[in-house]
Amino acid sequence: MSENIRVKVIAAISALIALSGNAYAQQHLDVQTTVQKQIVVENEDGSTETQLVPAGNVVPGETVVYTITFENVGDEAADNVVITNPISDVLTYVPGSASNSSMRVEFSADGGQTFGLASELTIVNEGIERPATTSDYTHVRWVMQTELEVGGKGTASFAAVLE
Amino acid sequence: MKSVKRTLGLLSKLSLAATALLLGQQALAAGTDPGTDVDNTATVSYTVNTIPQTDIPASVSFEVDRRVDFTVTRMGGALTPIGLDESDAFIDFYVTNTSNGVLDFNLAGVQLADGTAIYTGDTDTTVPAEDVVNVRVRVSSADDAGTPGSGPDPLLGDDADYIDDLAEDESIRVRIYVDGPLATANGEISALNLEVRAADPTGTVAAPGANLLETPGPDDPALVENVFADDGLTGDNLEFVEDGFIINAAQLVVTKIVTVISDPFGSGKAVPGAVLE
Repeated sequence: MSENIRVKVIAAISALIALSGNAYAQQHLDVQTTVQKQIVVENEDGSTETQLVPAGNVVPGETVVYTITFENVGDEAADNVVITNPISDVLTYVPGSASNSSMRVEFSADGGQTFGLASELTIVNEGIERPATTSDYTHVRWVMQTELEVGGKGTASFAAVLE
Repeated sequence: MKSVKRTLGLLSKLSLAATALLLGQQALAAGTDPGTDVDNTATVSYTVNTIPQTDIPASVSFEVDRRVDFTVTRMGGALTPIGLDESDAFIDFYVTNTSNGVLDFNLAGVQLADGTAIYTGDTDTTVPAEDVVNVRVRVSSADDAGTPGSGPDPLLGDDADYIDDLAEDESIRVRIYVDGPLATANGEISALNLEVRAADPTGTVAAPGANLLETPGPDDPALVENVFADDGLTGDNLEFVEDGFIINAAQLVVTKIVTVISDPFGSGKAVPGAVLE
């Protein structure tokens, strides 16, 4: 076998291993994400209500809502489930929108290097440390506090305003 | 307050005869450029039997559409005097692009009908034959530098009727030139609108772009679509503002004076038989 062929075989085996890794992962969790837009609908009686519609015509100033759903489709419980979502540079997180009753919500203001609770997060700007504001957030993540049993499902979501 | 016209089939399905108002209705200047893809990838990490598994990504994206929004402002503080034989009198405005991308604008100076109330509470009092004539719209040779209305005076030799490539958050001056009416009474008011419509930004002064239309039908996430945010609820891609001229016509005042030269009774009064001058 020539050296050239040997390299190709190794590459093919590596690709198979990578594929099988993904396939193995997919056997445990099924993850989906969607984006919708918030609108306020004014009723005939003058009252208003908020609705979510597909994020089609999105223009600056509007609010979009990302929703991540996950399900354990494997045959063993999953532990230490953490969902991490970067917040685009052109979006500003809406305070409180990531709240979740079954998961701890943390944020990062340094590109995902460190995470902390909103109340504890600080940034250092020109040598001065100050509390991070929502416009400083670069990532949001949800840390599941319990194991995800077989067949178990969960949802995490947050809202952000398009700048 | 700015808002966007939305007519959604979903609303009728919900039996809500309603108008959908977008969140974030505040007048938001500039913003993310149309056509920007906003990608989002959530990643889920986990372990099984303490063994870390391959992270699972899940992605979704949307494309930023064109928010069509702009304002037109009159610069004068009062009606502008104009004589019957005066040429090239003018009134000034400026147009501000508050959308999220570069836009062109088509312009028109439109005479208002007799009886139309204008900005001061005054009313157009001229019939067509008494209106100012030779209405011409001119655009300043340069955008305003930071302060709206601060750019060069629009001159008769400048571009007419069309603003080419006005960047978001920028303003440019516009002037309406007119000549005095041929005949009308002193103090009459001849009012005009400056009408502004956003146009396809690929247009030029030589080949003006067509007025933008709100993209109809179901949303296409892969296309940059136009969402009108101008003019309150109507969202009709039309903004206008009124201004006007007050006519300074020559006034001929005739005063009759009678003097008693003599009268039969020496009374000095204009009695029968008196001589008057």
